[in-house]
Amino acid sequence: MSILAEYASNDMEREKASNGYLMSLLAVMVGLPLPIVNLLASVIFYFSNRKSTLFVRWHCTQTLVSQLTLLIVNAIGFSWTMSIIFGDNMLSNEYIGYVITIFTFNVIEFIFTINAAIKVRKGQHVEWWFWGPLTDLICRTSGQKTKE
Amino acid sequence: MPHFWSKNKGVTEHYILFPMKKVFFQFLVLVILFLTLFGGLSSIDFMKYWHLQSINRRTEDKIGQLVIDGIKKSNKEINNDSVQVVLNTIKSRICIANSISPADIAIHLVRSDEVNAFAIPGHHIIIYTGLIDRCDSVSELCGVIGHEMGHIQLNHVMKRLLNELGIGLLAAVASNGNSAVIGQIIKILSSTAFARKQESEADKISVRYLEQAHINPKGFANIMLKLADMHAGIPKEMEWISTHPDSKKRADTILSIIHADQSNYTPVLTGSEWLVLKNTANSGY
Repeated sequence: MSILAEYASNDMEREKASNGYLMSLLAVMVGLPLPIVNLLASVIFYFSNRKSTLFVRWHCTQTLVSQLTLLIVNAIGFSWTMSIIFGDNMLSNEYIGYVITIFTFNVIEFIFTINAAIKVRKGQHVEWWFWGPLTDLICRTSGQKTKE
Repeated sequence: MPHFWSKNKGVTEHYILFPMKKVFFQFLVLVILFLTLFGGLSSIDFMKYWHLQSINRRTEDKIGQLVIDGIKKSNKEINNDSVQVVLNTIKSRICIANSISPADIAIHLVRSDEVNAFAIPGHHIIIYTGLIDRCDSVSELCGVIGHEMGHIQLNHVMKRLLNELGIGLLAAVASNGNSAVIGQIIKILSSTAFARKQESEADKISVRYLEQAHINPKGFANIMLKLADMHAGIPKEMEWISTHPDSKKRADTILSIIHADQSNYTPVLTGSEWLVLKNTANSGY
């Protein structure tokens, strides 16, 4: 069970947490095709809210770790594209396959982020596959250390 | 940290280890999902379905033919039987030893006093008689041919034209044969160098081709050194070397990558065949 399962959030927390998701979306639109921009936005938002309440921190962390994962796959795609345009690599089925794969994952992430921003604003808890438990683990570990 | 783990063992197992297993399991599923999608999509032949490969090769062949026609307008191509036989002997020797179809490469001997050779689209190699005139042995000429074949095999020619002119202009040239752009293509390919990395790759591949074909690669280094020495005196005529910078350094690199243990080199041409080429190059200016 998530550490936020029985957390009663107030309106200000919901707004801040929701903004964390929206911030990454906005940065995606502004920062394309550079994959680093959306991560930077999430990092800035995370650090500005790391001393906030658990609810806000949890959702900022979930955004951050999901963006970090996407950054890795997007950066591979970006460098592959650059090597085709400026280097010796050629257009190939593998490249097209990879681009479609990361495009699919980016679109799914985009939809999930919009959904999360709306639900979190309403005070509902949204926990994504893999990133949710990972965020839980990060927040739980940091919480244990803080208590100690 | 040890303090935390030892004092809170039960809590740790419940709060840390169990979620960690869950995270690991979900990460594994996600990676498998990603790789399955990537692997599945990669196995689809998009290049064929979207005609990407055929457009590239068809366009390349058309541009190649237009470039040859353009060169023939200003320089005469020597295509008598005896010369063609000799050039085909050299080409086949290198190609067959390196699993390249000889029919896929065409070598054209063009009359010009410029010391030059270059690859053009459509897997054609243009050799000026001026270059053969400067070669003292067939292995020197083989080194240059191997180098240009390296550019072809590594697709440097089309990549360079795409970088310099863009896909739109190249596609337009292939369809309407704009002579001004054809002239520009000839200028780019004949009088400017590839990127240093590409030149280095073509040198390395040339040495490999020559060794596979049992042709002494020292000839390739020799022509480099020879042309580098002559470069200062006659810059305008020494196109091949002037467009291939740092020739002395490259000759040293070529010598350093030659496998010293390989010595089973065999002649590419007979003396009389080589003389056919040399005499053809020397005559007719």
